[in-house]
Amino acid sequence: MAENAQNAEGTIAVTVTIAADRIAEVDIGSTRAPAASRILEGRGVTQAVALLPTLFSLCGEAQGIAGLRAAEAALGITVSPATAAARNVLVGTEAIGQILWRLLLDVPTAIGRDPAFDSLRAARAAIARVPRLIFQKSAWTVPGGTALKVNRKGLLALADRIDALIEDEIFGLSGLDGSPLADADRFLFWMAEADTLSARLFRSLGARRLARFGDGPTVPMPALDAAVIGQRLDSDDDGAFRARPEIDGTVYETGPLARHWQAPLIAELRAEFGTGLTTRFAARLIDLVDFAAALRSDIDRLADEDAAAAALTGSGSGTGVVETARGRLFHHVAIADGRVTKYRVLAPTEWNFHGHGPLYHGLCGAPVSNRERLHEGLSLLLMALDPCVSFDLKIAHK
Amino acid sequence: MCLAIPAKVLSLDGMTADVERYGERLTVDLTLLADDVVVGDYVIIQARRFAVERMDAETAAESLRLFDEIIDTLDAADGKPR
Repeated sequence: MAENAQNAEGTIAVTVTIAADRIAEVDIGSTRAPAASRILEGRGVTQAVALLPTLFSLCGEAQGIAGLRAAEAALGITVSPATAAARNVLVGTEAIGQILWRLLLDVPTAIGRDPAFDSLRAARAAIARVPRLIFQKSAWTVPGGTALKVNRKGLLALADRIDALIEDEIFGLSGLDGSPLADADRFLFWMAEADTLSARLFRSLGARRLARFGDGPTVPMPALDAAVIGQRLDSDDDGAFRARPEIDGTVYETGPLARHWQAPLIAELRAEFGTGLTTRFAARLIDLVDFAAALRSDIDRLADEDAAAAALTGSGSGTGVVETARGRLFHHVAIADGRVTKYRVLAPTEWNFHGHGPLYHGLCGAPVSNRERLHEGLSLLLMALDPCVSFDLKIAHK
Repeated sequence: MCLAIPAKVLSLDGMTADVERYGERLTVDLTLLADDVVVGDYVIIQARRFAVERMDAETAAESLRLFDEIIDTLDAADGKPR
């Protein structure tokens, strides 16, 4: 049972084989099983969706909201603008917490620095209080929406706190004319001058010749029609599409780099560093700033309101989509007379860690100067692509 | 899609704890936990290294019933008896 408890959670296993100072082979295996969502089948739709935040620890709120959107699409329910904004606040703050985890804990560990535990703990504690600042009751995963009782002052204080953290602990450089993420000139000046863990990461990448490690061909996920993914999920009885997703033979990349592919800074960095580590971590910084900015506009759209009375006894199928810190998350549900008959989840990890996806193409043929650097580069690339489960890394030689 | 499987705290040593979930024992870091924990509490673990949330025994029991179902589904798929 212990073995299947681990399998239920899943692991990504990456083995790279070195030959003639290059990565000659890349094998990406996954023990992730789609069983978790299967237990939602047979339950009433409200109960099924309410269980999602209990099942998932990393992005429980995003999972809950993807489920709500899927159920509402299936039943033809439209939510109020304030409820839509409330859910965006939950998704956005949860994503900010996940990005900060990478930037304040994992990245410093990878480059031999002390993590910023105190800042991360304080930010996570503040973010954990968000549902209580928006919803009247703790059970917010109700299709159609539940009563909103908005503590605007508390939410704005949280937004201020996140902005201050970004300014002080991520950027930490005053006197720059504009954002360090506006273009490559400002970014390169910032990374050379600032004394923050994030700036040190970029300097460290340069010093260790890892700035473009992981560069390879990748296709950013376009604005796919949710119905197309929904059809594939609906017919995915054996789980093959969920395990190795592709659309017309293309394995898309999803997440920060795909979201900001056309941003001026990312376009410039792609020209200089390809899709390597510098470009990927810069896209993550843009993500952090964008989620923080969206938080303020979503707070502005919040308003107190009573619970909606949605009819939950109908039938239909629908797909819910959420942009999480790691990328686009799809939930698909089929409902008959108010009961779930199919529940299927496609997580961003399955695209980004596909056997022939962005990680594979970023590693194949990469030059290897020395083994220690290779291990650092691999760890950082896995971190940049950000699987939602733990990973095992093996290096073999031919 | 990291699952929120509750782990029971078996012992504490400063800012680390030995925990157990479904027979698997792990040593986890408590630095990121907002609440104090005592032996017998349950915690949710992230990245197999950090406890990130304290859970009371009643909520953990409800959650573990769900994970029992998930693991039964996997066992059935593997053809294993429980």
